[in-house]
Parts: sequence; structure tokens; C-alpha cells
Amino acid sequence: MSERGQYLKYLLGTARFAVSRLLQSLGLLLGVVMVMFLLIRMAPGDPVQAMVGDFPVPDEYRDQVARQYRLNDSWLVQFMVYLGHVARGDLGYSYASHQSVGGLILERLPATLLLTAAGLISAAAMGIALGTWSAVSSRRSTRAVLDMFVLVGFSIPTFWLGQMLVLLFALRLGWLPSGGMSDARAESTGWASLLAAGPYLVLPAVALGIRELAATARIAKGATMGVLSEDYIVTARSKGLSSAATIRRHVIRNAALPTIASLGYRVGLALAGAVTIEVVFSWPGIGRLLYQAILARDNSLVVGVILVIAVLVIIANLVTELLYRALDPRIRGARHVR
Amino acid sequence: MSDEASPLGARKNRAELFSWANTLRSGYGLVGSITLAILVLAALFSPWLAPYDPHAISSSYLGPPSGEHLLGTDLVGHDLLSQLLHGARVTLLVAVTAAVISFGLGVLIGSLAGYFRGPVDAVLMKVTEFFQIIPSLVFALILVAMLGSHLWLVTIAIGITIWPQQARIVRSQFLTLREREFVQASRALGFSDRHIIFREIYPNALGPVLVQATLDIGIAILLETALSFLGLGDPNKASWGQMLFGAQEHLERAWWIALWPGVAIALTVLAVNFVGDALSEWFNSRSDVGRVSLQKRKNVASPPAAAPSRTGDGTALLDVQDLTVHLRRGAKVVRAVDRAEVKVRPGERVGLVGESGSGKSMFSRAVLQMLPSANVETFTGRIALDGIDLMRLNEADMRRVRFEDLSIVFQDAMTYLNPTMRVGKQITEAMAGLSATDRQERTRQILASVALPTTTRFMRRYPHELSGGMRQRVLIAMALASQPKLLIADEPTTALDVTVQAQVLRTLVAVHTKTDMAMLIITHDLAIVAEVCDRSFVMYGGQIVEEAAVSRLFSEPRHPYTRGLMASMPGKSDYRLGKRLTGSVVDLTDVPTGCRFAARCELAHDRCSTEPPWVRIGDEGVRCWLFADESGPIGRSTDKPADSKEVTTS
Ligand code: SF4
Repeated sequence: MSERGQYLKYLLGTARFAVSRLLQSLGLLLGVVMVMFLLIRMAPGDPVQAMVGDFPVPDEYRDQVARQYRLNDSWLVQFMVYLGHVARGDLGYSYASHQSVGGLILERLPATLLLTAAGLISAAAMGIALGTWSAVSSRRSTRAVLDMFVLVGFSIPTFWLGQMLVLLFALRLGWLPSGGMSDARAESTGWASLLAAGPYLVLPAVALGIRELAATARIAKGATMGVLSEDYIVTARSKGLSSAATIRRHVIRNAALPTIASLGYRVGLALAGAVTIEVVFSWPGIGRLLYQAILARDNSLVVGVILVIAVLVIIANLVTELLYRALDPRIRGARHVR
Repeated sequence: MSDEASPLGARKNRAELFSWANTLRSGYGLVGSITLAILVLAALFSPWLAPYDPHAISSSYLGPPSGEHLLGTDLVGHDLLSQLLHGARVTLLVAVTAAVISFGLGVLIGSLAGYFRGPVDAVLMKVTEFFQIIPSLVFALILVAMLGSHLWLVTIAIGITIWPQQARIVRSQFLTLREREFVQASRALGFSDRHIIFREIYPNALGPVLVQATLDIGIAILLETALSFLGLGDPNKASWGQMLFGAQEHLERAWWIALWPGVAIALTVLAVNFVGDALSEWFNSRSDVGRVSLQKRKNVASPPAAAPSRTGDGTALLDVQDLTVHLRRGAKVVRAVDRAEVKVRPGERVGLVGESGSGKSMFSRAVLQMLPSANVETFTGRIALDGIDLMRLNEADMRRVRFEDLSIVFQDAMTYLNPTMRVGKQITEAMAGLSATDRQERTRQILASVALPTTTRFMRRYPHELSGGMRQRVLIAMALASQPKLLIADEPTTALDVTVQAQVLRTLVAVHTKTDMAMLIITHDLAIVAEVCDRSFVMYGGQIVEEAAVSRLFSEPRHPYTRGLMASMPGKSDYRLGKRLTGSVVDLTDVPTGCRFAARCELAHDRCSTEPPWVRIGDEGVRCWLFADESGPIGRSTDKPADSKEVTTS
């Protein structure tokens, strides 16, 4: 078969893979919606109150909600109706802020994406470098220092680290702003607004990133140690390659693969971290929205944000899996020569 | 050496700078346990330790740390130290309870999935996937938000969001352990499943499960903290997290409110993680596997005093004398190679036969100076290649030797090839000092010589795209790329099926006849020796027990072990060769003081309880008492002058 034919075959395989993963993800998403639905129904108090939160609800609105969600029918019907709404992208109405839940979330989503991406990507890059370096280092103490850093990173509450950073760098030293990104961004648009966000981004991204840095470094270190014990490293050495060449040509790529594969999963954890971080830094994202929704007992908004988080994680997982496929030749080509 | 002096000094300083980390690293468990013990005591005795009633309101609210209030006071005027001490109770109670819930759920569900597999397992995996999509903090958060902020509810919410990890661990223990021999064996012996689960699987799963349970405590503390910070904690129970809840708005005016609870949380979780890490190290150390270090091998006894000079008798290309390799495996010492003497002359094809576990593979690793450095106990002797003692070379010079003079072909081509590198590149990178086009040209020549396609398309293949025989040829091509003086082939065809084996062997012989390269073929298969080699060594229990020309080895094997090997060859009748081998290879961690073969030897007699001498007979030799005196029953020593036979007791 020609190279081109193989490439086409590879593309087709990838597309088939993507579709099947997408279908699986939809199944999972259905599970998430179901759990959310059950939780709202299980909440104490009457269902309308559970949906709209702690607000005095006028009777006509109560009737409208009951009719819209068929609250007087069986749970199955209620669920199907609810599912229908969600499937159409209708996440409900936030009574507390007199706005549609979808609109509220869309408005806040970019800020969260910016924060999470900045924190996660920089942490992952540094984590891979640190982890690989410590694994190939000859000194046990290098690994010991990294192990220590990793454990400390796993032990500090993310939001508290944020608070301490604010205390030190914003309040004491005054080097960086502690919050208020929304005001700065409002003054500019487009790329300029992204630039304007820069200084505001540093502290929250660092606070969010430390844990991810620790996690990635640990995975990268483990993966590298694993690769180092592989037989093909013995081959490389028996060819007479230097340590540096062996690491460059044979270790890094093979060790980076499992690390990259783990990143999709880290996105969920980073988003969870972002919830608390956004509160500390008054970051105008969906994490803080979730916090406000919880305080206001605005349950339709709470559920909406969580569904959006689930969708984000699913997308991230899909992207990392596709990336992994593109990077690993073992998956890439299913061509065999006999 | 001299140019290395100063960086070496600097390196030493840096190493000292971080040596505390090593010390601490080995003491993680101790530091963590002591910290936790103090914490638990402080929590238990908090009513007596706390200077104030935690609910007592003093006149100074938001007071900074002072003599009166060591850690300051909060918004309402509570003494922070007292709050912290009492908060420890709540926090620890929540964390430990949640960890116990997670442990119970995890072990139960993991066991169900691991035991029943099939659909139950599939459902569990879906549930774990669910928790990867909804992170535990978010799920616990919505549970508490919907159902209410009672302490017990928060605890349960945490417990039922963190168990999947534990369940996965238990499940994977089930799945791997049920394939292991001892579980299979118990099953074959007719033990009930219950017996197997409780007597075999759970005790073995204990390590990882305990580690996870410990880590769960830390995870639970962090979750409780985050929930409380988001206002979802139980307002009536002042946990550490609850203390942080109010701190955010007063960061600017009263840093101490946020600082102390956070420090307490971080230190506690760190202590928990220390203990978990130490536990996992401890459990892992019991199943220790060596890894080849990329760094300098263990320092050999004597550093090179002068530039390596060409010594030796000049006739042998590889001259191994008195080679001893002992490796550590856990608490035991594996005597992989003991005082081995092996010579290979230029252009010769020499075999080294022995059953697996005879130490022959460690012999090849030792020649290459590629032992798993972390586990080397003893590594002494002389290994001269073309007159240069490899034991005295530093890493850079040794690398040059591997690059130019010495190559090895390993057994399992799949694992010895880098799966993510194109095979062409893997071959060219073994060549020294050629231009890119020359390399390309040379690669094609080599590929042709091992009967592989020479197309660019082939060179752009990855290992997994080739058949086993092709991979083995690629490995041989790689070894040939540097035009070595000596090629060591370590079980070069064992992984292949019989017809492919023959092809690959023919390739090896064909390559050999075209060059003047010498070959040392390490194998367990006498048929390969018969087909390929001129001369052969036989290895048993880490020792060379016989050396002979191949023709004579087969016509008149001397050592009882060799005879046993011959008799065990498929298709060989056992006439006058002795009986087939019975029993298993001697345990290299526990070798007898006398002849290592005695336990399996039919001809063992009283002398065999002391170590047999190496009896040299002309060019050949054998390590057996039967040949130690001239009246040996099978020896043909009588046709040699008496002085040509030297008896060395080694
Ligand atoms: S020394 Fe004794 S036990 Fe050992 S091989 Fe010879 S006869 Fe057998």
C-alpha cells in the first residue's frame, strides 16, 4: 500500500476512534445528567423550590415551572423532559440573577478556560521537565528533593496557597494585583483584553498550577524510570550512545507519552481547583459562579455549571486521546509486514 | 582526569547541599508518624491543652498574635490557638471516618469487580470514569449543596466520592493475582474461592490498599477544607476548614486567621503523605527489581592508574579471567558468575551454553560493563578485549568500545528495540563518524547482508510493524552497524519459531564468514552450538564447567552436566552419554560449598562435597573431580604428557 493510502487509512481509523469515544462520552454524560436529576429530586423541600433556590417564588412562576418540567407526572417522564431540555442546550433559568443559566455560563466560561489552560499547560511543561530530569539524574538527592516537592505540592490546599500568595505578593510586596480582573478586561477587547489579563493571571495560575506541577512531575518521573528499565535502553547503551544521547533519543519521547495521556484527567482536577481559586482571586469564571450559585441555593445554576464542567472534561479527554494517538506510532499505524 | 577535578569538586558540594533530602527521604515514615502521633494526642487532650474555651469571646477581635493570644484572635474574638486545637478533633474525625468509608466501599466494590469480572467490572469502570469526569470536589460539593451541610453528611459525601481509586487498586490486585502461580496452585489443590480470597489475595493486596487508605485521609482533609471554604461546612463544628471560611474577607487586615489553619492542614496532610509514601516504599522494596542505571557503573576496585595499555597474550581477542559477578536481590546475594575464564580468538565462533539461571546472561552484561549498577555486590576480575582491560575503562572510553569494537544481539527483539523510533534510524545511530549519505549507504549494505529489504520504506518502519524474524535481523543489523571485532549474541533466536530460527542462524553465519569478526553465542540450545560454533564453553551454577572444541564436545562430552544436556537434546538417544537431566538448576543465592552440580549428578561421590578443581586438558578443560587424577574413568588424559595438565584449585 502506498504511504498516502496508509495515511488515509490512519485518518479513517482515527475518525472511527473519535466517533466511538464520542458516543461513549455521550453515554457518560447521560449518566451525569441522571445523577444530577436524582440529586435535585432527592433534595429536601418541594421540587420547584429545589430548582429555583432560596427565593420567594410567585405562584404563577411555580405553576409555570411545574408545567414546563411536568413535575406532576412520573419521575421517568420528568427525567425525559429534563433530558430534552438539557439536550437542546436549555439549562434552565436562574431565578436569582434573572438570566438564563446557559447565558450566564457562556459569559463566564472564557475566564475559566484562560485560567485553567494557563495553569495546567505551564505546570505540565515544567512538570515533565522536572520529573524527567530528576529520574535521569545520577544523584539520589535530586530525586529526594523532587519527591519532597511533590508531597508538599499534594499537601497544600490550593485555595490557601492562593491566599498566601495574595498576602505576600499582592498585599505585602504589591507586585501583582490580587483580583479584579473583570474590571481591567472590560476596558479593552479581543487580544488586548487577553494582554490586560496577564498580570492578573500570574498568581491564580501559580496557585492552581503547583498541585498540577507536582502531579505531572510525579507521573513524568515514574514514566521515565519505567522507560529507563526498558530493554531498548540497554540496546541504546550497548550501541555506545552517551547518556545524553540515550535520554534525548530514546527516553524523553517514550516517557512523555504516558504523561500526556494523563493530562486529560488532570483537566477535571484543575477545574475543581479553579472553583476555589476563582473565589480567592475574584476571578470572573464559572468556578466563582458555582460558588455564588451555591450560596444563593440557585440549584439550576449549580447543575448547569457542573454539566458544563463535565462536558469540558470529556472534550479534554478526547483531545488528549487523539493527541496520544498522533504521537504514538504503535497506535498510529496498524500496518503489518509479514 | 585532571580537567574533571574542579567540576567534580563543585558537584560534591552540591551533593552535600542536598544530602539532607536523602536523610529525610529515608526518614519520611518516622517524621510523618511522629507528627501524626503528636497531632492525635493534641486533639485528644485539646480541652486541657487549649488556653481558652474555643467559644469564649475575648474583647480583642481580629487581634494579632500576642502574649495573651499566641496565634491571635478571629473576627468574633475567639482564641485561634484554642480553636485550632479543638478543630483538630473535628478535622481528624471527618478525615478518618471518610477514609474508612472509602476503604470499605473501595474494597467491597473492587472485590466484586475483580471476582465477578464481566458486566460487574464494566459497570464499575463506568462509575470510575464518571468520577474522572466529575472531580470528587465538585461531586462532594453538589451532594452537600443539595442535601445540607451537616458534619456527617459532609463526611459521607467525601467518603463516597473518593472510593473509586481504592476500588481500582483492589480490582487490579484481584486481576493480577489470580493469574499468579500460587493462586493457580491453590485453585488446583481444590481450595475454595473464599479461602483463596482471604488467604491469598487479600494478604497480598494489603500493601497498596493500606497505602491508598492512608493517602485517603489526606485527600479527605483537603476536601473538607475546600468544602468548608466554599461555605458548605457544618457551621456548628469548627473544623480547620471552617476556620478558613471566614478568613478570605479579612486577608488584608488579619493575615493570621488564614495562616494558622492552613499551616495546620498542610502539615497534617504532609505527615499523612509522608507515612503513605514510606509505606509504599516499604511494600515496594519487598518486590525489588533492578534497573540499569544510565549513570556510571559502580566504581571498580582500582581506578585506571595509567592509560590502558595493550597487554595479554595477544592470541585472544576476548580474554576473561577470574570474572566474578555477585548481585544483590533483596537480602540475598545472587552468585551469578564465579571466577569464570573465557577466551575468544579473533574470527572464532564460540558458544556459551547453559540452562536459564546458569548466569550466562549476566556474563554477557558483565563483558559489556552493563550490570544493573544499583544491585552489584561484587564485580571483579579481568575482561580484556583486544588487550584492553574493560574493567579499568571509564564510562566514556567504555562507550567508545561499545560503539566501535563490541556489539550485542539480545534475545527479545521486540523489547530491545525502541517502539517509537523508526528502525532505519535505530540502525544508523549505531554508526560512528560517517556522513549522512555514507550512513544511508552503509545501512543499506547491512540490511542486505542480513537479508532485509533495503528500501527507504522499510527503514521508515516501526518495530511493531515487522515480524519477529525481521525484528531479530534488525537487531543483528544494529549490532553489525559499527563493524565490531566481537559480536555477542545472547539467545539470538530463542524468541523465534523454528524455521525462522534457522534462517536467522544462517544469516549470522553468513555475516560472520564475510567479516573477520569473532562471535560469542550465548544459548541454552546445544543444537545452535553444534550448527554455528567452533568451540564452546558450558556454564553451570555461575561457573564454567567445561571448555572444548565443538566436534569433541559432541563426540565425547566430559562433564556429567554436559552429558546430561546432550541426553536431554530432542532427537538424541542417550547411549553412553548419560541420563537426561533431572531436577532444577542450582539456586544461585544458595550454592553448595562442593560441586554445584552434585545434587543432580549421577556420578557424585565423596570428593564432590569439596569444590572440584578446574582440570586443564590441552586446549580444553573441565571442572569435575572425575578428571582430577590421571586414572579418571572417562578422561583421555593418558595420551597427554603429565606436565601439560595443571590442576588449579579455584
Ligand atoms: S565433581 Fe562430582 S558431583 Fe560434580 S560433576 Fe563431577 S562427579 Fe558430579
